[in-house]
Amino acid sequence: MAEMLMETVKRLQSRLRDNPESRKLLKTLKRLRDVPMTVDILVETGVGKTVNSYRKHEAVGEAAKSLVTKWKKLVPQTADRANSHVKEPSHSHRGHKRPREPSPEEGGSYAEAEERGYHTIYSPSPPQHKQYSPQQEGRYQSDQYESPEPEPSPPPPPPPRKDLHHIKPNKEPSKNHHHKDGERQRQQQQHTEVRRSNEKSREWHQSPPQKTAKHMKTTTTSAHDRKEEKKKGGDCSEGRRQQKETQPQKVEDDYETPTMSFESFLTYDAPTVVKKKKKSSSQQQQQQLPPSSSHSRPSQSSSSTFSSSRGTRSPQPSSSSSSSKYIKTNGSQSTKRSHPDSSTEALPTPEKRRRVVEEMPMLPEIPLPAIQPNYRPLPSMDVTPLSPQRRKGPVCNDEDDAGFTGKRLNSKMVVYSGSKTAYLPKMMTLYEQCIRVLQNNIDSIAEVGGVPFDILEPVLERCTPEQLYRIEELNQCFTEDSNELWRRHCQHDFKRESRKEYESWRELYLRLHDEREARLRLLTQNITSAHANKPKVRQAKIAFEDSFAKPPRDVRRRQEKFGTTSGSSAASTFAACPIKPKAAAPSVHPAEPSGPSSSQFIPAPSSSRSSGPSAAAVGAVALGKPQPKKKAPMMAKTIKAFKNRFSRR
Amino acid sequence: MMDGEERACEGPDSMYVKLISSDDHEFIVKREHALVSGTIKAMLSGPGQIAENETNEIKFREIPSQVLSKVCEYFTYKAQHTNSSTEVPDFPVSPEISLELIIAANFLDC
Repeated sequence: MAEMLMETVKRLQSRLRDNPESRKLLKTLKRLRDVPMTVDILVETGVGKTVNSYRKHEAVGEAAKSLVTKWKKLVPQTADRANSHVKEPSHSHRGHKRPREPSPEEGGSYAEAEERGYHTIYSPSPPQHKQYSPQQEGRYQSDQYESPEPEPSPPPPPPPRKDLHHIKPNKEPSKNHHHKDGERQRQQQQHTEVRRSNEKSREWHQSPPQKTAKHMKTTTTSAHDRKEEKKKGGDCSEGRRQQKETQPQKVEDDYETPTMSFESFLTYDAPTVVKKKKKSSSQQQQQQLPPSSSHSRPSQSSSSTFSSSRGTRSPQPSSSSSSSKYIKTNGSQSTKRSHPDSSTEALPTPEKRRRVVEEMPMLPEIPLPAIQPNYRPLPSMDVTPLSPQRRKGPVCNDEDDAGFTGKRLNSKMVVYSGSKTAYLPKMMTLYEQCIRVLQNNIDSIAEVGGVPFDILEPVLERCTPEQLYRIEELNQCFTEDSNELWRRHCQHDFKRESRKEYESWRELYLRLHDEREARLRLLTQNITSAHANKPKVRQAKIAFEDSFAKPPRDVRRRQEKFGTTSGSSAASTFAACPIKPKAAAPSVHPAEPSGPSSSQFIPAPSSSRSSGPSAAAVGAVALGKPQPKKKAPMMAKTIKAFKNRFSRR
Repeated sequence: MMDGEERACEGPDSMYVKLISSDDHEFIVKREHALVSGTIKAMLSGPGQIAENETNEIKFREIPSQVLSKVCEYFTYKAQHTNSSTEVPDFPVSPEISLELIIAANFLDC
């Protein structure tokens, strides 16, 4: 199947080559479009190049362009390779076995030939080739890099950070002329990348944008120079190119560079996304912008935008279209600009900036966080509601520190499930078990029987003075031995007292205790008497003890209307408050003597009720609950609520 | 069953011992269980020829049966949980007999 496809493609390709007729070309192109193209086929046949050669064709140019674009999208790398293949035939230096290889070689050869330089530069970066192919085709034809820029020579796409490592700046150089960004990127990349890459970038520089031959020349030379300038860290030098060519490793780099360049082409507009170095460089560029560029302001803004959009650029090949426009504009300007070949990444060329500035539309200066390949969202706010503390266990503060609910980091707490006394750490003897039980039930100890004091001493130690006294009373035998216990009590309660002669601790304690009690009693009496003499500011009295309170007129009217008079009669009261017959009874009592006539009992239960839940005003004996005689519907609710509250006691 | 146990109580190396309460209740328990009590152990294996050595019976004149039964329960409880790694539950002691039990425990040293 693949072979068949291959055959078909080859056939069509040969047809393309042989038939200059527009009609047939169109047909063939259509057939090619329908063919499910694969990377292998593109590579094998180099059909992409063939199609690309017709880019300029008056009739089929559009079709060819679209087809090439489609294939590029399909297999960007292969397309580039294919493009490189395409270029290869046109160039003598082509003939590398691998598409990548030629790049260094090409670069070397291109060094001499500016035009070739362009090609070589492009070749290593297949992705760029893809886009450049049309231009390249034009170049091929004109043997110069015309600056058609019809398509945006994709600036060396700011390769993803990882790729930057591998990617050589080659891609960038090609666009540098066009796009300062590319140069910038290139520079940055160069710094980060291996020398080889730098070399390649130089080559790229040499094969600068294809504006015009003149430009090319200038660019190449300038690129040349710039490259050398740029490459400080060990790259730069013509020798490198040669080294590149010789080094097989270059192949790999070349292999990768194409991708880079393509991407860089795509995103040349945006500031190079060469990891942090780029950022720094871009920042520096920003700094340099004002002084260097005439477009200081716009450049700054653009640079800021670039820096901000850096992250976005690299992953977005779709920006190529936009970038293409920019490239065009830049192309015209690039020639004027010189490639800052500062090896330091941090030196974004102000010219680049200028270019960039002009290219990029004015974007709001919103400092967006740079997009990183490893995006880590902000750590969510850890709510740390305290987990319910275990009743038995100690409080673990580590939970709060950890900011994680329910997680015990350094807790060595042993959590017992169940009551603490349920499980004992060790086996207790029967004696100890009994002691434990007795300690828990000291108040139940009455007569001990014949239990000697010594045995029960642990129990008695836990007694309060009152308990001890009681037990002693019941078991006089303990009195003799409990002196020590009393001593402890005395020291605890009456620290300053000392015992008199021949006084045991027990006696001392009892004496002191009695004295204290007496004092307290005295004080209490004094206070109560003092209070009794004072005029009572506030007193709670029961109103309407004998009769019912009179409700307001309107309330009374309503009561009569709806029969909601409360307390008018026992029956009505009970009817109204069936829930609380008992409670109502005392409230009714005072009412009853008054007589159950409604007119007389103008109970103000409603008003009193509304005034407060306390039923005192109503004459109901305060049971702690509101006892309205009549229950209005809303009031009933409130009463219920109050009932619940009070009933919980 | 009784015969077997009685026979089991015979001899110095029998497997069971008989504990007799003050009210003449006889509790036959395994020898090793009873040996938890230091007093019983001394009675059964101490030097000298004690009557208990031969008959493997011990009469407790001060310990009533309800207490002695609880003591035997404790023997079992102790044997069960002595080498257990799991948490040991409390030995249930009702307060009513705790005072008497504590006397017995004190006497039996267990």
